[in-house]
Amino acid sequence: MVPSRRQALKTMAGSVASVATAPYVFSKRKQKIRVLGTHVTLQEPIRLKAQEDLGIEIEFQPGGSAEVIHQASTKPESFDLYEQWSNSIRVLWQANTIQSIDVSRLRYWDEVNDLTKTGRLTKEAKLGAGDAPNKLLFVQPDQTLGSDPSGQISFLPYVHNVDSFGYDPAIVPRGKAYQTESWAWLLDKQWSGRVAIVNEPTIGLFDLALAAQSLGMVEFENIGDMSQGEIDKLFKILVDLRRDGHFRGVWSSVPRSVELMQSGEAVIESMFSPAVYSLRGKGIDCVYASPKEGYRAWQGVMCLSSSTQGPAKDAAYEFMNWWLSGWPGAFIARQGYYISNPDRIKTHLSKNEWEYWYEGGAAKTDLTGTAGQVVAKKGRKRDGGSYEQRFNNVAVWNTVMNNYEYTLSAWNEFLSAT
Amino acid sequence: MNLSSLRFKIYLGFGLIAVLLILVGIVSLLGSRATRNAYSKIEKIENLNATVLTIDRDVQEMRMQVDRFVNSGHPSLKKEVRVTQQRVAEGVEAAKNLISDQEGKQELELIQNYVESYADNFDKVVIERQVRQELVYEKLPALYEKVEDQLAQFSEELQGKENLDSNQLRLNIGVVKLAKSKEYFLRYFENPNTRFVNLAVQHLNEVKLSLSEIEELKNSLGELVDQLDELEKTGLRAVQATRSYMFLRNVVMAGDQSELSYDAKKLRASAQKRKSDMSVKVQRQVQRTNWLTGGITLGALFLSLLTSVRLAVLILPPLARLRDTFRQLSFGATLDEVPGEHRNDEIGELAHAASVFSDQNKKTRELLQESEMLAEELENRASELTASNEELDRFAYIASHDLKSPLRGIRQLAQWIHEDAQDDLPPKSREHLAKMNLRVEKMEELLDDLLQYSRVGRIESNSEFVNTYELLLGIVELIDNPCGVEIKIPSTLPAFTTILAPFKQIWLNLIGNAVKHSDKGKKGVVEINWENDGEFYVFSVRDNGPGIDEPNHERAFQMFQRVGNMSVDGSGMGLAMVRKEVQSVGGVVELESELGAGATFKFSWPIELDLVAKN
Repeated sequence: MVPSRRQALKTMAGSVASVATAPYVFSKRKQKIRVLGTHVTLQEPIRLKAQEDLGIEIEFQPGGSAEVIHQASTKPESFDLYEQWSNSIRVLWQANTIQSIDVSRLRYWDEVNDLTKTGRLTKEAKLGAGDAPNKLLFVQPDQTLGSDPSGQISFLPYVHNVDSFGYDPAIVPRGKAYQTESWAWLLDKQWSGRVAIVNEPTIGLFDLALAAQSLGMVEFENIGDMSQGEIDKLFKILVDLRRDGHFRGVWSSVPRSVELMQSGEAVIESMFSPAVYSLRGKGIDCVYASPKEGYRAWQGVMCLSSSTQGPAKDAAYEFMNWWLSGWPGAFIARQGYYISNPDRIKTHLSKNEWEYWYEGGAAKTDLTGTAGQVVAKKGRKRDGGSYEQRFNNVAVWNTVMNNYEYTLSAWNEFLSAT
Repeated sequence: MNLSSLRFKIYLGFGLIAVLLILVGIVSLLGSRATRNAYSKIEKIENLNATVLTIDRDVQEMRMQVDRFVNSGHPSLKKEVRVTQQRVAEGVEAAKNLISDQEGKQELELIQNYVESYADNFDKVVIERQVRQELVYEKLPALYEKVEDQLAQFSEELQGKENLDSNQLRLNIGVVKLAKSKEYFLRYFENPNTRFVNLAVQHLNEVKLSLSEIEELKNSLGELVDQLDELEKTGLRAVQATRSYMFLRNVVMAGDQSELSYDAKKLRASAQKRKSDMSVKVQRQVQRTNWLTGGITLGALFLSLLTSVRLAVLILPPLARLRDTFRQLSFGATLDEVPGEHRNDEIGELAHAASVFSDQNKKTRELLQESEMLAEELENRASELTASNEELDRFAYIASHDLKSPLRGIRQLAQWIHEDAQDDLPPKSREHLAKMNLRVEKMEELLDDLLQYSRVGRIESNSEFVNTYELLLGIVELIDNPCGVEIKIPSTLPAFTTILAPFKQIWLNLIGNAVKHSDKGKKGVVEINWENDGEFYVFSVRDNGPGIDEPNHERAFQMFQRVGNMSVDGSGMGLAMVRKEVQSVGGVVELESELGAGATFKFSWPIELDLVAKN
């Protein structure tokens, strides 16, 4: 029988006590953990490095975002750790397929910055609409998720970023960050037939909603929690556009988004940072827009399966701690992702890299990505500037809204419109 | 081969035309083959288009089937989806066999991946739909019933205990909250919305909260809390199952289907474009083939015309000139120069042949001139010979005639001497006189023969009807046949008009010789025969006498030449006279004989003298 989260909670106090009384010593036997997630973080160099550093066997189960969330929400016994985005938390938490994580077992918890804990990186940053990570992070006494700090969290905050859309500057005239670049470009009829959207309503829907809102086609009272009326209005616009052939289509994986831009089938599309740098690594220029309306932000989440117990759970904690230990954050920085405790990765990045990726400075030399290809030519600055500048401009967080199911049907209607 | 020859030029011209015609054939063949291939490709593309269209339609149908299944959860609809899935997969396989370009294959690979992904996700939808079905319609109602029963039991347990009213109120609140949670779950399953789930869970928690305030039930609540937890867990699992299949259906499968339709459309568009390109290519190919065949045909025609004109110019005028030349040559003309003789071709050869003719004509003319000269000379000689013969005849005649008179005087004188002095003369002298007399007689005989010979052909005889048989009977009577040699004369001998004298003389000589020279006595036989060879009668006189050896055959016909038995009386002029008389009428005389085997004299005599004279 799969133990429930609540059963785990019942035994949690005892576990914490044992940790407090006897320092935890991880036994480096060949324990195996299974990590379910997307290609974004489940990369072979990370797996090998983790195995080497931790002495455990790690099995990665990479898949498309839809596929993995389905698996995670229905088969907790099939994985130990789940890596995706914060928008999957509500689904998984409600599905009771993940268990809370004890912050006391997280070695670098205190180094985790305010973004996840408060929803803002700096005090002056605007709080994005939707589920900012702090709203989902802490397990409340009533077993709901909320922003009030507690010793139990629903996910390990680690990689995160702000997303927007990418465009081919050879076709789409290059705009100015935060000034002319706009989500509205996605619905610009100039690019009709060459616009692609990520096939995930909790993500792609916001790209389109921001675009439609920017054009004044629809007004949202709260873009992070749209009403059915607002959803209807938005999808009416989207379905009409789809019927007019405005959209090339949707993509479900980062490599597919790269192919679409590379082949020229799409010239402007929803995009994730690794895809932008993958294209640049291939010598194809791609601008990662800094929309004046603000970014769509996301928080990477690492969740512990409700089925994982005992040595596997211990190993899973070690893997989580490893992720915040420096090297992985530095590795992932080279594909444009940030880590929740950035100071720790400084020693693993060159000054030049740190300045380019985190401080928005110009690259003093050509910078290479995770696969060793040049992703930033000397003199080039990161689109959108520094870590702070980018996270100060969050319009909305990837969110599972109350009308999530309603958006699913609407999404189907949108995709099927011909 | 002589490269300048007309044959080479004709062969070359026609060879080039033939090559051009073969080229036309090859171009047409290649053109039609290319066109056939292109049409075959177009057909393949059309098949591909039809197949891809079918795939697309099947996918649309499958979408509707999936929707029907998702809405109703009826298993039979699941089977429909599977059948359509299988049809789509088969369609993709069929399309793979129809496509050859790499890009198209990649599109098909993508389509196949989407079809497979679609099928996999449908499997998950089926599972989740089934899970939800069981949870919502079986497990969840059962759990609610169980909790409701428990609450009813609590109600009974509270009867008669302290704080009944307040406890009953809390219990009732619990019952209401439970009913509310059930209602929100059901509302969620009717019209999925996260808010309903939150409310359902919230109400379940409120059930626990409300009941936990009843002191009297504290010891009994553990089981109920477990049941409520199970209820929440089951409800949430059903919610999650609903979300799962909704997500799979509305996002994942719809995305696959959207991409699948896009790729199918793209494949069709690309196939359509290839078809259009192919059609343009075919048109160009046909046009190019037409241009090529037309061009080459025109080239062949032009070359034919050029060859004809060139050959006509090369052949006809020189041939006309040669024709005139040969015409001139046929009239015996000779030419200093033959037109075209300098050419190194068949016309040159003809001209050369003409020049040979010309040379021949020249030689013929020279020969003719020479022949004319010779004929003239021959005529002169013949005239001279005739004159000489006439002179000789005249001499013989004169001599024989003139000599005969003195000889007759001698003989008279000798007669007179004999008569006058026969007795006076010594025997010796008488003997001499007798010999002289004999010699004179001999001399007279010779002179008579000579005279007669010279007269042959000179004395004009008139023609008269001659019955040869009767003539020969008369001759047999005339000749001296002391030994009684048998003479066989056929009564069939011809009777015709001819000159009698020479004809009779010939028979006299030939039969007389045969009888005279017969050495068989009474057994001697002379046989007369004849035949008609058209213009001449050929007569023959055959005997069984001693015969004449071959070297003496010619000599037998010469004057004063005697062959055979010398004791036989004769002047040696008989056969000479026969030949002269036969030749005088245009005939010939021949001797066939061997020594001891008899002799046959044959002579031909004209049936009609006038006809012979004309020829």
